[in-house]
Amino acid sequence: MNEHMGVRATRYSLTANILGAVFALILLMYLVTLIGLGFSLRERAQKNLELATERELSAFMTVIQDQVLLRDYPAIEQLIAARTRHEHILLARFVSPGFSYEARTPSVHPTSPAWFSLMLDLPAPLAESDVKVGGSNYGRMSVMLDPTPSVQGLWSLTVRFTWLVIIGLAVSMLLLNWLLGRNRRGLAALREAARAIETGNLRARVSLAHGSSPEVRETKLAFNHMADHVSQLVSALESEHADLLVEKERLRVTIESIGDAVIVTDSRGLIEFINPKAEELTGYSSSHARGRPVSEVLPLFNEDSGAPVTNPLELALRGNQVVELASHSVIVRPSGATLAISDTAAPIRSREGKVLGGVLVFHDESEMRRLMQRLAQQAERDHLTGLWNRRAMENRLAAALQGVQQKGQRYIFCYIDLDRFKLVNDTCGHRAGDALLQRLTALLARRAESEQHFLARLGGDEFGLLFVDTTLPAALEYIQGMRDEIDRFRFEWDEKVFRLGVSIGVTELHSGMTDIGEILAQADTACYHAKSLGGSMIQVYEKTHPALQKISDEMQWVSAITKAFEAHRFVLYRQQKVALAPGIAQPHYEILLRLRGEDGVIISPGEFLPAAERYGLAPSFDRWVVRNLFAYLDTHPEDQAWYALNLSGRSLSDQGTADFVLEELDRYKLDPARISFEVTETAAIDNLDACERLILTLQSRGIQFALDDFGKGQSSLGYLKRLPAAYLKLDGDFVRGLDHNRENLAIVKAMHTLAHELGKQTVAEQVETQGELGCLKTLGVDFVQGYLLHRPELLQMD
Amino acid sequence: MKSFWISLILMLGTACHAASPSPYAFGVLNQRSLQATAAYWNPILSYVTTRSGVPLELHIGRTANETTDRVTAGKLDFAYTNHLFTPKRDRLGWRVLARQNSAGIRGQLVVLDSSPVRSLAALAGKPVAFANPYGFTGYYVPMDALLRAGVKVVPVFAGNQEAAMGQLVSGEVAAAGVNHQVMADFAKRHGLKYRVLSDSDPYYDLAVMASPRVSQTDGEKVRAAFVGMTEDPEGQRVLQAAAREVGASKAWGFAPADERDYDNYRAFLKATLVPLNE
Repeated sequence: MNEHMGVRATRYSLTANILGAVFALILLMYLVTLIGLGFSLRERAQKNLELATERELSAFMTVIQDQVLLRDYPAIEQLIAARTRHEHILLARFVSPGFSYEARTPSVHPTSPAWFSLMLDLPAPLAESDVKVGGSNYGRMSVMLDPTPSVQGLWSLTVRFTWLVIIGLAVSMLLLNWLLGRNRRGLAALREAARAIETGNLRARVSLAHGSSPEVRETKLAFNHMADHVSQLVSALESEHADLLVEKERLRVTIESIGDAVIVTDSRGLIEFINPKAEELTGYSSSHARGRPVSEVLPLFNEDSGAPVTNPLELALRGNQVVELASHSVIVRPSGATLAISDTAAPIRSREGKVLGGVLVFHDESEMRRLMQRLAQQAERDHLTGLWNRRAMENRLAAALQGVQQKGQRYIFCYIDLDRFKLVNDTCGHRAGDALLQRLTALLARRAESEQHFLARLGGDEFGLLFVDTTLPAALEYIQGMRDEIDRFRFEWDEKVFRLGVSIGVTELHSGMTDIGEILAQADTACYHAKSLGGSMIQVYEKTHPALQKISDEMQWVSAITKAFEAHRFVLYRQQKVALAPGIAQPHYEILLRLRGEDGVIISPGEFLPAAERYGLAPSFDRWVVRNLFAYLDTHPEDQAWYALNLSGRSLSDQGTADFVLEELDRYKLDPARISFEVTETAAIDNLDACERLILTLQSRGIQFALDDFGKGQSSLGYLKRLPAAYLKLDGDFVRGLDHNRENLAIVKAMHTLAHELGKQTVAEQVETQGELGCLKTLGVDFVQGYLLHRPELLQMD
Repeated sequence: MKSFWISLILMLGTACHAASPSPYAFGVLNQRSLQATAAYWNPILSYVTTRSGVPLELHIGRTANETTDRVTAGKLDFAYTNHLFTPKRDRLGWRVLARQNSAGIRGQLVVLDSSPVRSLAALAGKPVAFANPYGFTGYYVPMDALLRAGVKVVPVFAGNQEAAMGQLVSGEVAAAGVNHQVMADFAKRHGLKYRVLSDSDPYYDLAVMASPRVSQTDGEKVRAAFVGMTEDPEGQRVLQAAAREVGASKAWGFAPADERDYDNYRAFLKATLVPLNE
């Protein structure tokens, strides 16, 4: 900043100003004093003159009084004349009835100037008095004094006062000038030091020479401190400047070498900087781009519509916020070629928030978009079979439903589920299963190559086939042919030959359908029923079909269960497992899930669990039970019992189940030994690999497993060997009537013996009579559970 | 016509003269200072002028002797004096109109109460103050007493009686010859204690006298006015005021008097051993 800016130069030096001010002040004081004293002295002189005249009159009267009484008039004349000669008396007059005498003397020649007398205007006072003695008036005496001596006295006083002031003023000026001169020397030193610093000599300091006043000395000290501070600041600034240069160079190199294109503009959107990558993408050189509007160098258009797109940097500058470019934007280069880009624009703000400019970072995403398109295509394909996947089918079904509702088109959808596919997987492994699927789908695809068919793999061994503009009979004819072809199909693997079947559920789309879920549900329901009929069956969905109705009812439970979850109407019950074996001190319970109906009635799991398991809600139940039981144990430390929880088949196959359980365990810091899980034999076998992994994972943390309903399913000793469960829960069907049914007794005995031989403990469930209990005790079963011993009770969470 | 104007001017001149007749010169013997004398007598003369219709004007000499000289020189018409009873002045023909209405005056020789002088003989050779060499009770009577006692003193004339008393107080003289009434008033005014060594027979105080050229009518008017002051409330007020002016103990009025009331003066003056200063 210009050092002279804002400073109005004065014509006179500080000394001249101070001397002038003091001179003016003293002069003013002199005049004020002169005027003030002048008035006062004039008044006093006037009074004194009047008093003197009165005194003189009194003296005259005293002098002549005896002569008046004696009526000695010559003597009176002599006395008056004599006194008048010796005093400054202008007039002395005595007048009596028979005598009158008056003596006058001229006024003294004044030594004061005439203007002073005129200005003073001191009148000659006249004093008069009657000469009375004893009431008789002897005459009247008059005296007038000459004011000239008083005027001269005042003039003399004025002259002396003026000389005094002049001498005082001169002495003050000289003294002040001397003092200022002494202090100026200090100021000159300050000025020289300041100029030295100004020219770059940051080591310049003011000498603290003797003779300076304390103020100047303090100023010098302050200046030196300031100079020290400035020197330090300059050093720091130079250091920071060097750092900044390095940083700037590093930034320049970085920006020029990064893969992203960078454009920097001023606050009006005119380009100030463009890096090499931006030059490459825009086709503008830095010199050509600089100063141009960013929208000119980077013209943006919508990739699909070709409509111009507002440059995001302009939006960012206007809105003072970060703006990302809308997707599907491309730039048109000067050559006419388009380039897909993605960018982000942000305003550059000062510390006060003022927009100083903007920066636009963008990069070429042409390749990425191509990849995305490819991925999008792949996303709708099944990688194993090359068929459309479930998402593609759902999209197609949505379009079909729209066509039905809006154009009256006809669509048939069928749900295809392979029978006995699991057997191939389990016996020959997944590679065999995959190969089977590939060959079978190739067969199906050949039949569905026309545009009237849309075939997709919905998951595992499930497929969907959509018929376009086809009547139901035509579709059924096609489906039957397809089923027959699959029936004829043979799959060979490792010298094994497998024969497959297929269950197909069919439904026709109609305008009353609300969404694709309903289409899938109807076809699935029909397929489920077809499968339940023994396989290789085709079932067309009919709303009034009893079997389908039942399945549909299960579906109703889905929404009911969802609502119950939201309303927190699920509750936990527990039923004790009484230990018969010695040495088991802690009570053991099985946690049971109950649903409280909207009317408050407790609903047993047999009502809702099948639907929940079928429609994938069971894992949610399992997690809910785990979370709530663990929370209960955490808040009820007095309860030291051991608890067993049921896990559904879906949870077994869910790879996240183990992590969830362990996280919850860690969260509540519970003893894992107190927790065990019960999985049904069927569910375990259906998810054998997953179940084995889960058991092993949780067992490594001390959590035990029980195989529930053992003996009910197709028990295989091989499964029993693979699954490292600690308990076997003997199915209630075998326990009931144990005391009088020899077959059941034999089976239970065999299972118990087997379990013990494998190192597992046994639990007999549904014990309802003393006879059954007695037998179980005799057999040495470890735990018994049933209404005889303990009816399920509500677990008090609060 | 010319004669008419001359007649008119003369008539007017006469009328003017009659309207403001020249006042009579009333001389007062100096018993006090000029100021005190004037302060005492001017109100009285003003009253008498008003009451009598005879204009009187106070005339005082510097000393009693000078006042008496003015009488003998014929410059005064009335006088309040007792100096005119010497054989020589008695022949001037002045007549007595009235006198101060007091018990009379006595001549005394007094010393300060603190003085060791206890008798006239003790005053021999010592200075004794008197008013002037013409005073009756202020010189003739006390000096006559000293001469008759055979005591010679150094007379010191102070000018008037109070001046003589002042010299006594200041110690310049051993004793003073005084009018007993003036002395008493002086002592009272100054808180002075004194001792009387010699006391004379009483004499009437000074007399108001008229010169032979004062008409009988005017003289009687003046006498009546003086004598009537004590009966007139205004006259009493004037007398009291005049007495206060000079610090007199009592406001004396005036009583009618004639030549007989002053025969003892004449007799004393004929027989005194003191040489008369006429």
